[in-house]
Amino acid sequence: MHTPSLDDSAALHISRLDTDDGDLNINMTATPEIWRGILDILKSYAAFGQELRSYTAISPQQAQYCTALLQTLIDHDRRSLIIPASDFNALSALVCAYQDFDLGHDRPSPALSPETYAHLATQCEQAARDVRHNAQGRQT
Amino acid sequence: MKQHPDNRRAIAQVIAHGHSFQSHHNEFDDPRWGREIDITYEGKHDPVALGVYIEQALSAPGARLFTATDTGTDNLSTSYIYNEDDNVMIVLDANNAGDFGTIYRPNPNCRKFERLHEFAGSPPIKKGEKAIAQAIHRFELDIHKHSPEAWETLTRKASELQLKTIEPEPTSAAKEQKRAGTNIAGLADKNQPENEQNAALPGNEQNGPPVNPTVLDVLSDKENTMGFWADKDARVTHYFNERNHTVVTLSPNNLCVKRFESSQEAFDYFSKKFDQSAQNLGIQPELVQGGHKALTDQYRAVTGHKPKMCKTMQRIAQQLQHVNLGCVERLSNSIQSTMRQSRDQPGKNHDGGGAYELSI
Repeated sequence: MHTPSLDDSAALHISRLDTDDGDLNINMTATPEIWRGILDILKSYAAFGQELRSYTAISPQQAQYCTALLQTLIDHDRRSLIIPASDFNALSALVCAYQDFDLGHDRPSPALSPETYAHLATQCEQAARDVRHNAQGRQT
Repeated sequence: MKQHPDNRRAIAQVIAHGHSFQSHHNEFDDPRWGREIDITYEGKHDPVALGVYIEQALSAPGARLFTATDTGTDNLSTSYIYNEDDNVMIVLDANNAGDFGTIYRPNPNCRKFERLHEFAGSPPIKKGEKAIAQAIHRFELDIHKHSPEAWETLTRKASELQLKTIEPEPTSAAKEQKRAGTNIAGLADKNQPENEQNAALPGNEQNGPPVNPTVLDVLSDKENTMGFWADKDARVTHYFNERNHTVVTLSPNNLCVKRFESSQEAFDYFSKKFDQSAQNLGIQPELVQGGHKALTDQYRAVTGHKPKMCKTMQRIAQQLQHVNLGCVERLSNSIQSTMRQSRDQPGKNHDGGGAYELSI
């Protein structure tokens, strides 16, 4: 079953894919520019090494995995990514956490305008919250 | 449970002398991050003074904290302790055997504690001195039990600072388990062949097909299990076992087992995973017959390096044992229970697959 997009108005489209087998997958669709911008953000975390978990609650291994996924997507010039909810949570956390480092810390700037980034972060945070809420609803 | 003050001091000073001092000392006297906190000695920022502050902060009654476990690394804990009055975050990270955590002052406008809490999956939030002591004790036990090298590193670093560490006392529950002889963390002897370890797990018969397959049954069934890696680093792998109508998925965070009424249903599910991976990869994954070891060997042969998911059968067995003593039995029970529900409630909307997901 394909549910409507969580936000059809944005450059990044995020929609749930409630599969017949009960798994929850997330379909993310965006332009190559947006994907490259997100990949820039993920790549910037490589410098954190083992400290990443302290600042994002995401393990360096998960971050590397998400980075590899996006790199593959971009290498193959594709626009859609279907990932399990757990990977989406990690990816969205990394996108959202990026805004926390703008006070006095050096960080590379992604090829995204501040407005676009802010929109993406809001979308990801809201979608991740919906996904978690949905997952909790399934458990109860 | 006893959390020794010597260890608290050693942990505080080791953290203060690591990454946290190198990267964050300027935040403590900059009003943008909150009230000024004195971490100076003779007019200069000083890691010992930062360590003294951390030690005091680890006794602050008003601090909130939560503990997350990294299911990809033997369930080692990370505790996030936030003192809102000082706007200070202290992180005790048993996964980080270099610095063991950090202390920093988050951007006061970003609700950092709440966001970390959400990112970590919303584990329970606790408050107060006792909760912090429990978190420190959990940290000590984690690095002591799961990684002797990490404990040695902590002891060595503390020793360099003229501090001592005390071997942490196990929790009463762990003591009970040990007395009862049920602590099977060391069950998987490194010298044992894989098939012997598999046989040592509950629910597995040495002769003939198992009635309720364990995860290891599926992964080691060379005749009936095929699999593929779903990403180029092989962090996620899927396996289909024809004989037991089962699909197993290994990923950095989870081990997911689904058992179906028929081999065809299991294969259909496996095929969907295959197609999804093909779409994400841009090419069709390579299907490998022969179980987990064959898949690992083939990945090495094709790429020239080890799969990131890495795990030998022995490693998977150890992780299963670390997760929970009864996980394999619960797996069988869960599968049976779901299969019963499937039969008893045919009108319900499900795929007939008994699914059980656990974290490794």
